[in-house]
Amino acid sequence: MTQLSGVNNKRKFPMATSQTEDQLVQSERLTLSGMHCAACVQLIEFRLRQLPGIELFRINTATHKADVIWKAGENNLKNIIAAIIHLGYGALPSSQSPDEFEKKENKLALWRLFIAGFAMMQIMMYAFPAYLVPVPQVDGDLTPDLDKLLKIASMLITVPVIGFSALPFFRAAWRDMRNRHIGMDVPVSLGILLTFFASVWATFAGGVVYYDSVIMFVFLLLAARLIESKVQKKTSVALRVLTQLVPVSAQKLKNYPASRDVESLDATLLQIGDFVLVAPGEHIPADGVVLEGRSECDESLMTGESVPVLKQVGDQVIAGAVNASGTLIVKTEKVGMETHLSSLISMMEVAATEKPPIVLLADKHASRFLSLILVVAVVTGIVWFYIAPARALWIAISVIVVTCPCALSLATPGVMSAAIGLLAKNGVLIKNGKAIQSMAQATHFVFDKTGTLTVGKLSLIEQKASRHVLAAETIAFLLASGSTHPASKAIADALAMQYQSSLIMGVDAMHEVAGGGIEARIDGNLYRLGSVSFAAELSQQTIIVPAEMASQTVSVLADNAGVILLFGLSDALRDDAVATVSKLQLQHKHVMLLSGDREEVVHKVARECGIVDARAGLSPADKFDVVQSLQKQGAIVVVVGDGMNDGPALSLANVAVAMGQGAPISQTRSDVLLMSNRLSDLDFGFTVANKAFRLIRENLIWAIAYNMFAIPAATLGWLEPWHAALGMSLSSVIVVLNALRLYLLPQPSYVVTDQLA
Amino acid sequence: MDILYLLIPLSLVLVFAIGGLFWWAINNRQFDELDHQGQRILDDVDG
Repeated sequence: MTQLSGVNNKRKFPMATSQTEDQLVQSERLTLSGMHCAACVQLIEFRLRQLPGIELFRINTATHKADVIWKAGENNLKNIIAAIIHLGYGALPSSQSPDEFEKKENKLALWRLFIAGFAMMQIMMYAFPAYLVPVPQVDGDLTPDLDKLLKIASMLITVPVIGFSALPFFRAAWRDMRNRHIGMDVPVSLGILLTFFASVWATFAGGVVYYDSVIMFVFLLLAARLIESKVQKKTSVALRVLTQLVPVSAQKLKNYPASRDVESLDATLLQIGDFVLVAPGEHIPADGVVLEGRSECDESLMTGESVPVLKQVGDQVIAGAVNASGTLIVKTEKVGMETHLSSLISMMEVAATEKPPIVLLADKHASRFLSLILVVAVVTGIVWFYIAPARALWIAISVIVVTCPCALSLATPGVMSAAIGLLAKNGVLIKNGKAIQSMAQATHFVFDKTGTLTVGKLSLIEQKASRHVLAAETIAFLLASGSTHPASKAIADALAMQYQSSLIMGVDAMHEVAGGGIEARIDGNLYRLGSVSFAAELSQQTIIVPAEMASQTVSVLADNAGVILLFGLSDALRDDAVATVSKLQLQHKHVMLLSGDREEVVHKVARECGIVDARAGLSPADKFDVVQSLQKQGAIVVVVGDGMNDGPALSLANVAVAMGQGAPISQTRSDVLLMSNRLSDLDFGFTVANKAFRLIRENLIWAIAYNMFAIPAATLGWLEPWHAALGMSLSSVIVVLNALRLYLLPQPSYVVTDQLA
Repeated sequence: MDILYLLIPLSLVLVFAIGGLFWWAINNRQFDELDHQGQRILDDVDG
């Protein structure tokens, strides 16, 4: 029996323990996927209950989770999961611990809102009579006794709202005060507490009460915050999807290559240099290199690419990818928090908390603004004490309550995290929160050529047969697949389709000549694949390359009788390069191509993409200078690059965009990472950034306009406390709802076209 | 109108009673799974 020790967090179900004291029971919660209807549920439950040793199996249709309890001696988790997968559904052990806490928090937040809402409905019953009748002059209907009873009832209803629903505000305010910083929660808490205690005092001493305002205020503010935290949660779910990929268990080959004994252990316990076995359907537990096997891996959550990528011996695999078809043996190179996946997640988590400069500026003033408001409130109170002592306290409270820096405290983080989550889902990772603003304001786009506008590796463009040889393609494929040279790889990839495995050919004496090509004896004949001169040597004939292939890299397949096949190779443009460039130009952005490559190659690419401003033969320092001089003229420059030679320009750029397949150095210096290698995502990224920045600005303008009107009105005594409470809390709700508009953006849908990248 | 002296306190009691009942129901997982329970009668095996 294989023990998946890392995933068996033994959660006992209360009902199961009593029945099975004689035997060890194990329990696990599974996350199921692929269930759509009640029939699915029944099918899975029916099948699972037939398995031996299953004590309990119950599916929760709403959450797509299943609880399973089984006797340890009679079954194991692997069998159970295999049975579900066999039915055509997905099942994974769900590690519970992280969301348990979050769920509890969420539940509590809902309770707080519910209590406030419930109290808000109820309190109107008690507050309503006082609004109708000016209380003292009564003709028998609302006696002072009854009035007092209603006020006491209102007070009792308000107690749970103050003592439970409003607690988060008080806590945050207390934290702010301790840190000698005035945040939004300070005036909010002050307003709530002052209004409540002044009303309590008025209940017994006589006067107006504002219990209903307090409750409404708490309810609307809680509602705004709940929406806002939902948005943030959505982003953290997008990030969590990535973290859930972090595999929980791994199968380590203890004495590889001597034996194939596996040992299951927690993936976090893996060491660099361990050998692990990855069965089909499992997650790859760590970054590493394939030593044995051939399989397709689904890296879609990292790259957004939905087609599995072929992995063979020598290929890099990334932790979290799903091994789709064959068994792989992988030597680990990076483990635990070091993996590509883990480092990306932590970078994005940091980015989600960063604020763009415009918000930082507003934040800085917000704190000062709030302190000023407290002073204004006190002054207003003192002034009004001499004008109308009875109203002084209420007017001061109105001033405190009406101030609303909500655009900053609530909606900006909302917009930011919504934008980052939306982009992450589409394969664009924002590593730096400031990038959102710079992206929105960008004027110049500088592209690198190789690997950015082009695929970055050779591909077969043209193929010419100069004489007919039986199964020439198969011979070329056999030769090409024996080498790792980019040209050979390109030929092998292109010919793999035509490879006829039915033709069994004996390959002998294959060897590679550096700078030349490959030579091998196939079915007794000697063949060469490689450069023109290398191939020509075999037959002692000169090979004439057709003129139309002059601008390409040429590879030749020849035997001792002369040329068989000519291959024309070149670095192809990305499918979406032309569309992306023209879209940017339509938005009146200045697009440039800076490359270190030869003049004619660069200009050919520029022509194809429609870029006018193309410069060739630039060193990394030249690129740096170009970007610098653009910035001196006031341009906001986005640099899109992938290689070592873009490093300096990327670090200088206002926004540095790196391709996911690019060199690690360009990735670490970048603000934005295109995981999918799709240039069209760049366009989507800028659309989202534009919209997000616009929403942030709208919210700021709203906040300023609202305060410009509301604060003078409150100091002049035009506003009752309930006006202030309504205005402030509605303003919060408006700002939060405005932030949600980001989700209205249409998300790109992809037709997967090429497998080249 | 004297009845109000009874009805107002009574309404307060009701509010707290309803709130408490709801609290109890949620904490006892009465709302945890609403979809499947109705279909359980169709299951082949007793769930």
